[in-house]
Amino acid sequence: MLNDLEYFEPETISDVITFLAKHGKDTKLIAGGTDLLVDMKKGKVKPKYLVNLMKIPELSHIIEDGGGLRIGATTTFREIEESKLIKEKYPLLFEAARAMGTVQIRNMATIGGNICNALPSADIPPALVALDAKAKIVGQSGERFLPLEEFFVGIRKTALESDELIREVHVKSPPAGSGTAFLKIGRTASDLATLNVAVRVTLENNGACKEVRVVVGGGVGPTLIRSKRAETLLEGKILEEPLIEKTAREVSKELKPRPTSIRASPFYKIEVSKVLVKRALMKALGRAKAGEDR
Amino acid sequence: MKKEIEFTINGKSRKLTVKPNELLLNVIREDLGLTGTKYGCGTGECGACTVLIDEEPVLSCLTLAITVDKKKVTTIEGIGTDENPHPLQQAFVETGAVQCGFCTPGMILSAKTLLDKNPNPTEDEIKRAIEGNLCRCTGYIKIIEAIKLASVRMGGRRK
Repeated sequence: MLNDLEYFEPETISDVITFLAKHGKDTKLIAGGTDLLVDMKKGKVKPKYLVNLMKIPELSHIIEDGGGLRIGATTTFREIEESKLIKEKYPLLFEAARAMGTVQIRNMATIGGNICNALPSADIPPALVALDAKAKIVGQSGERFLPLEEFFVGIRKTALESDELIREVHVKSPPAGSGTAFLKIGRTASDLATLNVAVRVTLENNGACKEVRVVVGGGVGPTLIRSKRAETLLEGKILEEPLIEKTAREVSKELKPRPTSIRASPFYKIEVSKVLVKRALMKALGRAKAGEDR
Repeated sequence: MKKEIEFTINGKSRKLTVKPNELLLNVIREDLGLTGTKYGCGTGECGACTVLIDEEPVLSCLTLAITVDKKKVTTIEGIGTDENPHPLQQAFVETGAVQCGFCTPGMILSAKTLLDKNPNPTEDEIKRAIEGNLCRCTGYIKIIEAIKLASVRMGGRRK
């Protein structure tokens, strides 16, 4: 059973901030509730106050804006998956959103909730990091932007202060010459990731790699891992299969799955990462060449 | 701190006083006596507790009742009766898509949302629509057949 609590349903963000400033430490914000209520049922968290964000209109939107996208924190995964704009111009987000949970979960769970829960096995964060996404954070002292990879500081730990919330996620439009891919291995189709990989390859006009992101998630460390080795090895080069294969092996050396890792052994995760990273890079490269992504 | 909520359940408007920590599933089963909606895993894995909120399938075991204020909730009891079953209910019976029956209410509600939006789904689209409803008896084959049959009867043409 869930503990007794007091429930609030503010209609504006400033009401939430005022409430958090007073009661932040005893409060849980609830959006879809698909993670929080499970934790509450298990008695892992016992908030005194529950503040529902789903009645705040200014938190739910998908807006194209100045060469990028602004996604409101309480936008559901289903809304992301079904957005024509996202499917056409941000296929990486479409693929990652669709890989998460089940229809029911995606109708409930929100992008902000997923990010704030900071599970290392979440699907949308690697895709967002591959698109250089930033979190727009609001609190008592105003607003700040944080690159998403800096937002995650540990397993279920974020850079949010107790009086802050995520208002939006800002995503840059993939530059011309980009191709992306999201691949996931799970025990079942709707499970959390055993391993997931989000890749963006951006090519110069001459075909050389201008910029690359290889982001691996699925419990390969306390947070997702943006591979620096991949960036060093691939940027400026003509991408061909042997180089990509070598890169995938190098990326696997950056992964640090825990010995107590839940969904697969560290050995399996590292071995399978070599295959998945290679496949994702090849797929993204193919798409970049075909001009499938913009 | 109880609160009065007003919502539509199976087409009828209801007022109820609920505590903020009450789950929608318990309110539906215990306060409203609608026991078609099942309690399965309680953690969002199985889909037995699926109901429709504003026509979309969601999990009533992970929904606080207090949050459905002013919303429209549909349970399996709301889409057909013994005398006048929904085409999906009829097709499930005829096809043998029901064995123990525990997953059936949620399965049918997920399928209903699919067919309402997409009258002629492919097999792949059917599988995706019911991905959140676990069945441990049938192996899904007859369930998929039933959804196809219902889609024909509901006017979605099928090759």
